[in-house]
Amino acid sequence: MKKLFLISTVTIAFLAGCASNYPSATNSVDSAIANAQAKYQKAHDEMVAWKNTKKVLEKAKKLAMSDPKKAIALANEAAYEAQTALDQSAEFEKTWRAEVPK
Amino acid sequence: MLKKMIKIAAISMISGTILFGASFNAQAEKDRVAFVNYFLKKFENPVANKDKYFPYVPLEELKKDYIYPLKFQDFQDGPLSWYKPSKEQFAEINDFPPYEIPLDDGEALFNKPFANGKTYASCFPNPAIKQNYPYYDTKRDEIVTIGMAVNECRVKNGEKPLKYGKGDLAKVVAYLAYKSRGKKIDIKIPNENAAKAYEAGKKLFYKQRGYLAISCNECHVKSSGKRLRAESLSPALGATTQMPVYRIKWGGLGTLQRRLAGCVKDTGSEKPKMQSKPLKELAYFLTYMSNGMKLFGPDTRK
Repeated sequence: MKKLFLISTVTIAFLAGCASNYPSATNSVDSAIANAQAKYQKAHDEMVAWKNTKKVLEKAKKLAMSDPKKAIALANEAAYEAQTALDQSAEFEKTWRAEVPK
Repeated sequence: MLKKMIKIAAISMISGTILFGASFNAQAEKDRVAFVNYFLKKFENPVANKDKYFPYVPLEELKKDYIYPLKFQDFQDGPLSWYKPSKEQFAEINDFPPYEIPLDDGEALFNKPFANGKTYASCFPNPAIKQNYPYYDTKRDEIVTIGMAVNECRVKNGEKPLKYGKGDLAKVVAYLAYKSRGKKIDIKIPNENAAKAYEAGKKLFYKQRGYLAISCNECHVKSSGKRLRAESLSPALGATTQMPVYRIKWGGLGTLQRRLAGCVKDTGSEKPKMQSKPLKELAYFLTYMSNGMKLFGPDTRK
């Protein structure tokens, strides 16, 4: 009886763990995509986005349901590209005037 | 006394307008003169200036294949202006210019009546207008390109606008360019907003971008006159004189904006949309840099 109780408790605990993990996985896909989307949009509006970022982001959105792990990786890649484009733009903002022939 | 006061006030107003008006393009004019001088110096004597401008080009090649000294108007030939092998190759291609058929199509389209019986001539009674495009329309507070003017003419006459960049629009623009051959580029900066648009275009030209972190300036100013694999990099000076061009790569005609958008994409950036504000500003800046140069469009390019 004790053994049965222990097994039931472990099973319930495991299932509860799974159940609580599932929404958090969904949240992390959504938040990764939302983060990438926001960064991409900023880079796009400033006309500094790289040419593949949108494609990577779209692919992440497509895989969000079927392969959340890959979708997160792609969203993070898109976010990284967009952020690098923004950082690069801020850096070149300081130097481009020196390039103009005097 | 009153007459004298009115006279003084009028003179002050006129001179003020002239001075104020002139100040809008003061920076642009300074930039343009420095830009032109850079290219004239660079191509004055590439052999003597090898260390400064062409450190990686073999001396023999400079002596054998480079055309120099180049004068202001010589830059109208773009990448062909300085490189003998390309110039000879394209002289042969232009015995039967590939742009001839689309140019004839452009003339036919120009003269073909719209549904209302009018033609493009109702908007462009004198088709030799390309030297003034793109211009800053002070009433609309925006840059107007020649492609926009063509499409606005169509809409005014009840027709659908054409797709920008290529096709029939490029053909009509080619006809307008052909009729404008020999006219000197005359871009004006009429007010403060036009000066801002010019500055925005200038920034887009000089600021590095894309995952390759390069700018228009890197290839078409600093590296102009050098080769990128088998291609010769064209000088930005005079780049707009031959537009639209028949590119062998495209297998057809393309407008200045199509070429610029492709160039921006080549840096690893998102391709800007045709007639988008940044692309128009870039065209405005670049065309201003060639002010005073005679037009020679359409032409053929790789």
